[in-house]
Amino acid sequence: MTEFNLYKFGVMVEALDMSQKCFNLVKQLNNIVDEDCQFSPIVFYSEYAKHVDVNRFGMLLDQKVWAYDGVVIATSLKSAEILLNCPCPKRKFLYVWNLDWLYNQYVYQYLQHIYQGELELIARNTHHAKVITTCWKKPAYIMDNFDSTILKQIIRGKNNND
Amino acid sequence: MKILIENPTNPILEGIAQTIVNLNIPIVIWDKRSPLNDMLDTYQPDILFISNVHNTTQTKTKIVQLNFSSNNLSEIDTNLINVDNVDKPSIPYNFKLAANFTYHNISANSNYLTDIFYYSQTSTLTILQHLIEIEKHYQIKIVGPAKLPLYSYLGISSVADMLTFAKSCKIALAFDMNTLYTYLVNKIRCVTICKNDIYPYVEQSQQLISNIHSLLHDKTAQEENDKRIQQAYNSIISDHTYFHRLKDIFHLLGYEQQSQECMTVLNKALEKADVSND
Repeated sequence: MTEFNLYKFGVMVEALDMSQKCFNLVKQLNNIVDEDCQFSPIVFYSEYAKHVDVNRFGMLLDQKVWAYDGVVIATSLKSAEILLNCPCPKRKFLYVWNLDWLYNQYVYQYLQHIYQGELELIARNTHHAKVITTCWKKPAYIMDNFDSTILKQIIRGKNNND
Repeated sequence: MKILIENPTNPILEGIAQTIVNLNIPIVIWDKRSPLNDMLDTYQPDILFISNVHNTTQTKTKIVQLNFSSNNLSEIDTNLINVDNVDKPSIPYNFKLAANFTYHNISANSNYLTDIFYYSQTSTLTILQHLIEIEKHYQIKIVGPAKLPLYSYLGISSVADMLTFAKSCKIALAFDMNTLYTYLVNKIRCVTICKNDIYPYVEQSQQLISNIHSLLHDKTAQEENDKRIQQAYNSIISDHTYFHRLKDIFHLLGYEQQSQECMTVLNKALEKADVSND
């Protein structure tokens, strides 16, 4: 009889709204929940918003990340900032959905704290990965649109090549 | 003595402010949120450093109105200070270029490592074209107040951060004279497009990239560059730091003790820098 491992993980968003990011997130998390009961995802949000689809996973306010002991993935600078201050998550990731420094002017120290700090980075594609490596540090994973296969690997702690 | 200075939004005002801090003279920054007259009433400074656009104030404070200008080392005029009228408290000070020698303790940091570094103060099309070409060939990191539409532009940074970057990179790009002076006084290997008497003039991006390439890979070019840096460093250290400029200003305003203190502090800083270099 094989041992049953429960993989707890959370994804932080500002609002689970009707954006491309949240559409893909809801779709892939629903897939994971339907396919594999070993995974227990939670979406942590700052503001409530109308969802793009019915979600079959839990949702909590982002204040709860502080005491959450699973793997947590932040998806924006704001959520990364919150995640950096949380002592409990087992592993902390930042999914670099946007190359934010291209769109707004930030203070370098602030970006450095987020991108070169303790968070492991996840890039969306190889082109992003190359830019992120040049500017900050090498991403630990490349995951296209919350691809459920890669997402499971990340949560299990396996490398891209495993 | 109490000094009030306009918010240092450019490296020259920052250089003056940092040097005054090094001299242990009380200094307050005017952040422009309240009117200048209110600041003068509250703080009652002895000297006010201000750029010429804000100099409309009638006050008993001695105003040093800074008219910025940039020059090559060889063109610097030793007769810097012009007093139009002794009865007027305002002194237009033709502020020739100087180097900020207050950050000599900064060292390299592994988080700032890169091939090329550029501190963006202004974003002109020419500079952008050069940077686009460089970005194609080398790893480059850019910080600074002027936002550039490039992947490698990483945000606004302080002068201290800029020097950490410059000391951690292989080559720093200096596209204006003030930055060039700051790099030279910190003995940082750099490439420039400015017309100056230290490096040959570069106009084309191809030439700039070839200079970068030879500085990265050619030992003779590196040695020649280091010699130039040493010559420029000697010249700047003997006459053209903000300590020298403040010495002249304090002397003109009659603060002899502070004027002498400028050289004492500079010499101490030089000794420290020599020890850390050894």
